[in-house]
Amino acid sequence: MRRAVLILLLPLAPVLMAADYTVDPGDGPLTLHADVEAAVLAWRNAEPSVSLEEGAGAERVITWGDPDLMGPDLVTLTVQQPSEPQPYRVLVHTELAGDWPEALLHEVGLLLGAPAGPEGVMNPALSADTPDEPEPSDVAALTSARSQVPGDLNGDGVVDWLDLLELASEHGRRGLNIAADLDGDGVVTDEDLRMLREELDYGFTVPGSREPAVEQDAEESDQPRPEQELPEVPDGAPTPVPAEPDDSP
Amino acid sequence: MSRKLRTITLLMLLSGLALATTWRQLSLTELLAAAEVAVHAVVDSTTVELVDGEPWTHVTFTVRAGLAWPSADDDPEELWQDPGSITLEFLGGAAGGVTLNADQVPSFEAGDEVILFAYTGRYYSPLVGFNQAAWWLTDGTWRGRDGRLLGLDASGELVLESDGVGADPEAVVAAVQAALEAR
Repeated sequence: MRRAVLILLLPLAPVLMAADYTVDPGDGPLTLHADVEAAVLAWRNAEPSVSLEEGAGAERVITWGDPDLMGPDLVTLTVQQPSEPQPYRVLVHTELAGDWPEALLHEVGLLLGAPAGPEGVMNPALSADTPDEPEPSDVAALTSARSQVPGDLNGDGVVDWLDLLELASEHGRRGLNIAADLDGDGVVTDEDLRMLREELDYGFTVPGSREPAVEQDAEESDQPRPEQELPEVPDGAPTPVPAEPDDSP
Repeated sequence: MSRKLRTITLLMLLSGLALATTWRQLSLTELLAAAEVAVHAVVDSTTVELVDGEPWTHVTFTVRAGLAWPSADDDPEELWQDPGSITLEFLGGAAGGVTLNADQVPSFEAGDEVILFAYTGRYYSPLVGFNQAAWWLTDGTWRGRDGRLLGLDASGELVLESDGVGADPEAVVAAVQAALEAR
């Protein structure tokens, strides 16, 4: 019986032990493994809780790119081919990567979930000002990204009609790292819209507030809202009515 | 929250779907120095073709002004002999059932009016600085996708600044041409 269970679970092993990334130096220098590991270690030094698993068969492959096609300015390039079993390839310039180890810090940061931004190692434009290790702003960006509400495209803490508007403006767009591409297939489609609409059942944001205005049912509607304190009423005076929230855009 | 979205989001966080692209940041002086071809042009059309199984987007521009042009000696493949139009090739697109997204590779639409600096070599993106040397005419200013504005300062010098002030678009084109000729 135990053997039968093991045989049944065997095909699931690659899924259960899925790696975060694969390093494939191909015919290029074998130093790629060490270069990526150094970048992971630098992130771990900055934020001890982070961890990444390298192994075969991951969706993301870090490999050397052809310098003749990458050109003189591109240090790393990510390409996505949804039809491939390993759909993401991070191409690393064999010659420029040595001059710009910060590029792998950036790529590993993204692998961990930190968004690209204008500061620190998460700035994709590399210059003499790029730090050689993750900075507190990079760690803060990673922490913030990890606590983001799924479907919250504009990052205001709630999933509301503003996110729906953002998705509508991105509809049909192709590419990587598009927040509105909720299913991650590389294009913003009706499927992403459908997924977001499921989230909208939770309510809408009152403009100017980060708190969602919770829909109230008939039983609750006569009760004062908990965040509103009513003034004391002198004997015989009319009872004040709590103000309705301003729902105008 | 729907189970599907929660699952996908969890997978994205765990596996880091967001991966990106990095490039050397170039100053305006470096962009000007590296430009082998520079044009003021309007996008005529875009088509996608499979090259060795990978989709490449071919963008054809109608040239309004050739600001820098390779000589015939520098152009063994005669790619730059028609001053009326040029076609640049960028990795990515969808063709023949194959879709390939290349992060941060510039994209163009028919009718876009642009100033471009490019290399004559065939790269994933032929633009100088990978994606830095393209400025779209937007609301009367030449603006790059990184937000930097190609304009003139108070003394009429060509500048590339995030918080720059725009100038007459034709005056900027003339200043770019002058800067290229002064190299």
